[in-house]
Amino acid sequence: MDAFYASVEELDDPSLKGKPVIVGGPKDARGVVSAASYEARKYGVHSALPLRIAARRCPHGIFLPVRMNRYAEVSRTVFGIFERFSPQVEPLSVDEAFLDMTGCERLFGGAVQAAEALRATILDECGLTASVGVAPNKFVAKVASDLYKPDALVVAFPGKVREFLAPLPVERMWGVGPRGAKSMHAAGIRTLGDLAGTSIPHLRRLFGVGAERLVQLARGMDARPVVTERSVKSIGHEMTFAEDVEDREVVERTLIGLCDKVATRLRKHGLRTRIVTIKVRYAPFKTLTRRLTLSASTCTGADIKTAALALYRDKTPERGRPVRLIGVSTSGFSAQSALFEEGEAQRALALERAADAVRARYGAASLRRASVLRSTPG
Amino acid sequence: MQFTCDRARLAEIAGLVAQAAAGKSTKKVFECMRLSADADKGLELASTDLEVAVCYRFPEVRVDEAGVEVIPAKLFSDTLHSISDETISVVSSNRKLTVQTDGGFFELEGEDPTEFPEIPGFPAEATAQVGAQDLRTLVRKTIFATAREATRFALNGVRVTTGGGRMTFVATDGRRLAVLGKTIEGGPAAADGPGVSVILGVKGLQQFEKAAAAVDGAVDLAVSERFAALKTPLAEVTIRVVDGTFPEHKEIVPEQCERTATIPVERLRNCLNQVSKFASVETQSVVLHFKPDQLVISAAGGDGRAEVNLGIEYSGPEERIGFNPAYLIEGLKAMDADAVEFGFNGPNSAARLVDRATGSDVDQSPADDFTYVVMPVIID
Repeated sequence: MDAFYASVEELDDPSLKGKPVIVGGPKDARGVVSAASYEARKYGVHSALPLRIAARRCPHGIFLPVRMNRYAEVSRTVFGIFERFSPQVEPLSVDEAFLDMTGCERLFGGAVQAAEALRATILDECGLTASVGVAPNKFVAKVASDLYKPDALVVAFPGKVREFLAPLPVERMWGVGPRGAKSMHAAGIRTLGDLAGTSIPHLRRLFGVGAERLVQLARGMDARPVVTERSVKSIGHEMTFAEDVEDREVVERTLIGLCDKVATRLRKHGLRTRIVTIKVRYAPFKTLTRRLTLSASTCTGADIKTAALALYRDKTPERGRPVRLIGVSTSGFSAQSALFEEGEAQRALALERAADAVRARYGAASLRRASVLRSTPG
Repeated sequence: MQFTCDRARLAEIAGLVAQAAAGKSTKKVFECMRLSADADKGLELASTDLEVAVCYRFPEVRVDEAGVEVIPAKLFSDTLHSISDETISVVSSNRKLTVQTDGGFFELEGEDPTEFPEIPGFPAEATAQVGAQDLRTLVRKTIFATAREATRFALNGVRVTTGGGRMTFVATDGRRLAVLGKTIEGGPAAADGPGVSVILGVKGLQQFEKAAAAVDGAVDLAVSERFAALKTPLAEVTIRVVDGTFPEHKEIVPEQCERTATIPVERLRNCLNQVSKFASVETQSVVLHFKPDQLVISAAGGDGRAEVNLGIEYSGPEERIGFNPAYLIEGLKAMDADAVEFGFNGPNSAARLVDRATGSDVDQSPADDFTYVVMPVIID
């Protein structure tokens, strides 16, 4: 999607169209820019730029707060459209995904036709523009989709991939940041074509073990499959605290909330888990992970919470040490449905399914466990 | 104690009794069997791990001197199986038991017989008669569906319900369920009273099955809230009931199936076997695609894909359902009819496989059908 958050703001308030929209918060806030409209980008405003610098570069910019719930709602609609085009959808972020169109030729008359239909459908049903890259593999498709944003369709045909990539600057390469680009420039490598022609041993001396992979990508070779959430190996959530937390109760409360989120996702994908792992990062940077294998598979937050809390209480002995991050993940999945839930699990599952339905309609924050809410004194 | 007998026959009985003894125990005596020799009754072999107790009689023995010994069960059984003499002599003194053969001797260190746990006798009341082969069928067709993870308590066993002249076995691991009922006769358990419903462990039921194997007619059965006991002319087996709650199978077995296909059992099993090798490690599933008079079974994983067709009787709309092939194969293995009635209500609901009762019995009723329920694997 093009300038996704800013585009959603323009969609909801058409008077913003054509104006420099900057999503992230008030111009004097401490945070950074989450998204900038293409109009704002003309002034050098881009995501991750501190808001105060954005305000200096674009003083007449319209600064808006982040309305994540609204973006998530639009994102769900967009992903719903993706799923109508291919069963193999790999989400990359809230507004980006890979679609494997293998085997879908007969449905849409080819990948290019499908891409055009996809863009038209998103515009028609969401009122938003999307840029699509069509290519034989994920790396090239991602590069193509970014190339002529916004509202662009870029095709890299099989057999022409290397020609397509060759003139592009090395900065287009995934994982090559400003520093990497600088050292490549120093070595005389300015384009992906230069990189593709570099000998691997030579590059390895400069960039270490990752060199081979860089050259392969620059040559347009990328064998990674499109991985749908169904075929992922783990589902988890983690949360970094704004300030390090010493109160174990606060950590536990957060952990319980994360467990419910994980369970909701498991149920959404019809998965059941047997392995629960928690991750605790203590300030400044020591990270512990602890895992537990359940006797029977589950998809309820109640079961995951019980396991996660047991791990946190019994297996993380560093009491009183400030916690920076807490996370929970589940793995060891099975799509095997259960005939019945054993004992208490039956009621827990019915309750959580009902809660899923409420949240799907009224948003993630509409219904939560009381134990997750902050306790107020008195 | 001193006796002489046929080695192969004694080895066979000792093998069954050794299996009922505790495998590894903190008390040596629980790993033992008790051997009792009596000039009139012959030999009696008994063992227990306190959950299951067995007692076998072996009358075809020449007892020269009566006595009781308690000896390591597995070692005794292994010894008898490892030698090839047709006849052996056994003699004991001072808690040492010696097996004498033509080629040498094997001396087993015994335990104090007074330490040996009590072997419960078969109760005189509350008995019923069930056909030995019916009992074996009940065990064979349900026991495989029990939960294998050791921590599932009640689901590690089979629920046995008696009453109203019938006995029903139900086993499930939460993903599939097997249920079979048979007629029983006589005794309060078989009368129209409330009957009993208990959970019996797998090990004990295997002993029931083995004890019934040697019998042609009926065996005596007693089921109470605490014990289930079996009596044949040569054996008595007592199982302690497992505590726990068991799901109500009537709520789980689909009453109605919107669609039903009739599929040859043997061919279906072979096809599933072939295709299942290609199922991906992660999903462990195959897809059953029902088409008019045709079933297409397919699987795809990292190492390749497979698809096979078989002719079936089916006239409903096309439907694709994913299953763990192992669950289907195990259920089909337990079936006796040539064709299975494969009923389903869609890709997210339990499928119901019915193996119609066959055999020489004149009055086969639908109640004797073997029903197997499998929950699908969700496919994209």
